[in-house]
Amino acid sequence: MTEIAELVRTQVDLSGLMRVLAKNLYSTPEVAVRELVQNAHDSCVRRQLEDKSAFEPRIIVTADPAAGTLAIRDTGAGLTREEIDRYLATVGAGYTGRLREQGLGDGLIGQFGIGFLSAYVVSERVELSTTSYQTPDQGWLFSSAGGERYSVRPHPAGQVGTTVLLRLNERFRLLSNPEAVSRLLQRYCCLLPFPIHLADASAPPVNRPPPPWRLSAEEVPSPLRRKRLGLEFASRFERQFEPLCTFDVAPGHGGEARGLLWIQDGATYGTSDNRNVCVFVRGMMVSRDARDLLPEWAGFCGGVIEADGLNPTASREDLQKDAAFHATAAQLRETLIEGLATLAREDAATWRRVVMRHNEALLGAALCDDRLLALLADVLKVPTSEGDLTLPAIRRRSGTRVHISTGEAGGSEEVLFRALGVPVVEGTRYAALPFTQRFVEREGGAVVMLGTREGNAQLFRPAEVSPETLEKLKALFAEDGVELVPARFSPPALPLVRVPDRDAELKERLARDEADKRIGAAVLGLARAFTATLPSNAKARLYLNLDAPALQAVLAAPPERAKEGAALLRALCTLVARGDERAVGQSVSTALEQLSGALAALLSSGK
Amino acid sequence: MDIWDWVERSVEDARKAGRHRLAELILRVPQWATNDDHAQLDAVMPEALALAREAKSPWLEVYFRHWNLQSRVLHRLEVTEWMSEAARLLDYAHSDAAKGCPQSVCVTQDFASCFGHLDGPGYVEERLAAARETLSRIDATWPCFTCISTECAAALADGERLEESLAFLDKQEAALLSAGLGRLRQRFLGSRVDTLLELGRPREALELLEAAGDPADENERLERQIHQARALGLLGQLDEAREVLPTPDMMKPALNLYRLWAEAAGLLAAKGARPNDWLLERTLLEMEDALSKNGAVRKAFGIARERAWLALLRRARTTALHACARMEALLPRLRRPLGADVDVARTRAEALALPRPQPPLPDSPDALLDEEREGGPEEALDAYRAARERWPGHEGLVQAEASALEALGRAAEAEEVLRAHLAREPGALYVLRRLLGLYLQRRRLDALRALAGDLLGQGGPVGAQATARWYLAQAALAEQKPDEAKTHLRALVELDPDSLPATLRLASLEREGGELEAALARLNVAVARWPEPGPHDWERMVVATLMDRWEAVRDSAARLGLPVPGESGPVYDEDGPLCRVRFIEENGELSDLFAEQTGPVTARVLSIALPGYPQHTGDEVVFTMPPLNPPPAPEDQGRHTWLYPVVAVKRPGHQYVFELEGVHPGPEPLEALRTALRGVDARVSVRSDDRYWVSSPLPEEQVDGLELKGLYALVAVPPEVSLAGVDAVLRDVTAGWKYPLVWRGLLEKLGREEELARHRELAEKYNLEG
Repeated sequence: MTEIAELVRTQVDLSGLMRVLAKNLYSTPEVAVRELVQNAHDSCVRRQLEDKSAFEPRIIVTADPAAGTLAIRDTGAGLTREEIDRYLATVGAGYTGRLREQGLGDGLIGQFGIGFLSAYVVSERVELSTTSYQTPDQGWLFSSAGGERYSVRPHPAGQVGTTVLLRLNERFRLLSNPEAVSRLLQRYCCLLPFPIHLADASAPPVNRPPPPWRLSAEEVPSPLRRKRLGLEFASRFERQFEPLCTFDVAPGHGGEARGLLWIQDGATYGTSDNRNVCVFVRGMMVSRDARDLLPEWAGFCGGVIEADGLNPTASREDLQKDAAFHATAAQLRETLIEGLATLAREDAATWRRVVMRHNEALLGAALCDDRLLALLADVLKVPTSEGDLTLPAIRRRSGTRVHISTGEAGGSEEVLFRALGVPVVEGTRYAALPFTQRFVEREGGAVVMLGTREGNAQLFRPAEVSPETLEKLKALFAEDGVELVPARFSPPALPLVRVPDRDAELKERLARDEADKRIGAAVLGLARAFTATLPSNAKARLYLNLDAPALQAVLAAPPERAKEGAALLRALCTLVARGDERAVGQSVSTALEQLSGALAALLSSGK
Repeated sequence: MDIWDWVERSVEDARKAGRHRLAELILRVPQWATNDDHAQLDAVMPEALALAREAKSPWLEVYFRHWNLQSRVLHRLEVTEWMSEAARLLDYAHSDAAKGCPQSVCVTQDFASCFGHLDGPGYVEERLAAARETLSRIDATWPCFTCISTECAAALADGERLEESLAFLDKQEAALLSAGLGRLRQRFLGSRVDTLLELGRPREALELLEAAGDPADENERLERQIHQARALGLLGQLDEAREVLPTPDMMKPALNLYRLWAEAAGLLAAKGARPNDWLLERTLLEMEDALSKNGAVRKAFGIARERAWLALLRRARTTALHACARMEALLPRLRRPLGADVDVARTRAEALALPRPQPPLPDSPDALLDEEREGGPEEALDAYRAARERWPGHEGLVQAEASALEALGRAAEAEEVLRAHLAREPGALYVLRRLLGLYLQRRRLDALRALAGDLLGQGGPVGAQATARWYLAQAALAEQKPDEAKTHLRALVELDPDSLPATLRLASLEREGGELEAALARLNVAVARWPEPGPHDWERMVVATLMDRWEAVRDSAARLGLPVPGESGPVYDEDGPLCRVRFIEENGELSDLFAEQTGPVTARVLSIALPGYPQHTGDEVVFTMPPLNPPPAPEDQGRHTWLYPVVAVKRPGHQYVFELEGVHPGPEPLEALRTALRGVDARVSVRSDDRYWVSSPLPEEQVDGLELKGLYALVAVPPEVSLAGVDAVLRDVTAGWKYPLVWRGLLEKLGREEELARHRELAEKYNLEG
């Protein structure tokens, strides 16, 4: 062995690979820190396996902003001269892989032997000084800029272990900032078993205390302290919000993951998606954003889990969506649902805060799972004409019926509902309509949607009238294609409502010749075959309210007056429908003319 | 025409117009539809439509309605319910309002596909005509080209023109490739694989699947897994097939794939790769039920056929016949039988040819009921039926048969079994309870009322009548009809005065309805009838407290062994423990407030609410038992307070609450203020903490960054206390403080304009809100 540095060419086409690495494999530079700490960790594991002498495994990371360097020192196995060539110069030949092949690598993280290359992505030069436990009297200094060539020279033997010094690129100088590195280590390396120190070994390890789920009940007997540890740990990972409460993830429900889930303490809209899940595999973070592990409805949740059964993709920045992934997703879903149920039962104050913060998102969630619906049916609020109300509160006001407006039934709908004097659910707002429907299916009662056949039947109770009254009504209100329905409904101040029949309208439109010009013959044939199966209804129904004093007065008036009165009421009907001509059958201008004419006639006849 | 280009432009336009929510929904609605996130889609659909209409964009309206139909019809197969909407949308998308809409083609497809799902083979010609008509109007550059071609190939396959279907797909793929779109064998993967499997060419199907890129969405992923399982199953690679077939749980939202799954699962079961048992039978029956209910008749028929076939394989005669009956019921709903009728007849003959089950029976029905059954409910059903032939009147066997049917997913038949037994044995009380309970559980309230009404009309035995009344009351309560429930419970109590649950429920309904005298009388009788103290005593104390009948309160408290102060007269404990009480506010929100307990079922609220919120401080309330929260864990003993539901406010606090704000004076002066206010019966509740800061009002301290610890407190004053007196105390105690406090609300109430103006000015200097 000479003192002269050897210059060696690496055995692969690095420039191409580095481009790929830099661009695709590692989208974030901090991954380099993760990879090198992982190498340091694996080196300690290797020494535990191979070297029988006692040693204290530890990793020390030193960031020097003035020098623009980052150093990762370990007390692991170190490398011999031969190993340097074999493992640092050959992509895919990491020692970790070999140990694993021999079935020895349960505590190991690395998989691909390419972690070291990430150092080149962020550095101008990488220097590695090492002393192997096999040759404790001989040290080596490896040095390379860019990785295509490297030199190895003898170096005074030091403590057994390895130090990797990165002389950082200008672009990645942030990695020499101790605070930034500390935060990185806290997140990326918090699950590694060996102590990791920042700057020097006397500083408290950054990966202590261990995550709460690794602490036994004996270590932390107080539930309150456990709760606080959970919240503290969660706030390290939740970037946008404070965590409001946490749920422990434990193996079960077909999944093997352990960890924490939490609810965020920030208000959300129905479809806000702030899900985030950090995933650790064999102690190393492999994904910061495995949001798909949480159900789509859980837009207000975050989590950290460790699950060695999950499989990272080659870049180790994401997870393969395989059977283990789906099993873990199911496990987290169940954990979340059980956690919410426990919260509701045992911590009313926090539960109410969760409900208040995430009312809208939870409306959507309740639709996805019947257990959530059972939990939330009584406590979530839906938007109504009288502010946000829970459904039990609405039913206290409107009896067994819950009225919903979707604006589909034409202009009369809003007026009728407003006149009813009960809260009306605003069905066009997020989740309000399906949540209300599901609530009523569950708890009983009826949903009343105007414009639907069922809704109309609920609102307008058909009334028996004598043949003479019916004749009178026909004479006063009959129109072509409109069915007169004598009925009784609230409020009595509303004498008549006209509701279009959508199926009848469709049938009529498709039957017209002009439809042939608009729609292809084959599909129109199918459409006509379908509408032929629909019952033949009038295109609209005019519900005449026999409880209305105005209508009663018209019926009691002498024929001429009655005619004028009926015209007045019809015009009123048009005007309250706010110009929705589909619902009223006449234009607003005609209505106004009719109103003026009838009023003039009434006043002049009263003289 | 590139529809996605139009979608992107629409998103941009919406954002530019400040319609960010609309933009978000344009992007996300298709994702929810294709990923089977149906609940999310349903949650946003009315909103999306309203936003499209508000933006006066008929094209976007068509777009959202189209995606809704994709979810409703193409994924969930809700044909019956949504066919009208599909027809309406067809009409609307081709109307003047939506003229030129790029999605009018898709809408045509939505409508035509309703028929494919209703009865694919029955509508082959019509579907082909519709698809060809549309294809003649577009070219391969339209995204719809793929969908319509898929539909055309499916129609050909439904017409058993499999080779033609494959050739057609080749032609369409060539057109796509020459238009520079798509990868070979990728676009029509599902259709192609399906057809290859039908043709008995699993190897090719598997090769295609393995060479394919990532699936576009969750539904496609499931479809591929099912196809893969079937191909592997056909090739005899059973372990791999079992591994890859999705579980029934994963299949739940993907109704469009039920038929495919049934076929694959059936194949694996037949080959012994998974159990051919009652669990598979129940899963398939659930799938069949869902499809039949939605109107996907041919697919439902196919699953019933699969069930029959599997039942024949495992020689389950009863199930096979059940499946045949289902197929027969579906037949008339098909447009054309196309051999389905022959198929049913043959299957029925095969089922009938199986030997009748003759399970060995023990000596007594009870021994049978005690037996552990390994074969699950399917086998048990045969045993119970055989046993019933031997012991026809045994109520336990009837119930067991009903339970077996329920476990098999056949609740309607379970009802039928119970009903038939009752028709023969009207006095079978357990069967009656079971049936009424089943009706209630399935919310078949009309059936419940009809049966209970018949029983009452017949004037049968007291037990049956009482049972009928109880369930009628439950049905009324399920529909929020307390008066109707009370009528039934009163009749029940008259029939059977020994029913404590009925007595208690009736008393609480009477109390809730304000009929306090009736409730108390009933509870007095109950206390005499049931000497053992219990829930009737608690309810009696609630009612008696509401009525100031203290002797009854004291009597029940004594019976329960509860200490109450004094010998007679009102019960009011000045030193009761701290508890919490729950109010349900007008808007339905719950307020849990601290209170001091003043009697066994009474408390006085301590918590003070912020102005503008419902105020309960000082309210004297009556609550019921039991508490709403569980007892404390041993380590929480010291911190635990019971939480009780408030039933009524007996005496409203009517306290006036105002805010007291400014710079925190320090602990001692604050304590002095608190003491002085307590002297006039006013209470202070400090709401601010160390994170609350205000500015200094002093000119010499008006420098940037100088902030002082702030105080935000609420003061509650009982109605009998003079507000002017409180004002005087405040002025007196705070006189001479370096930083004066501000109480704007109180001054406004007192009409002290001058002082109010001064306080307002000060508040501004402190930088206070409002």
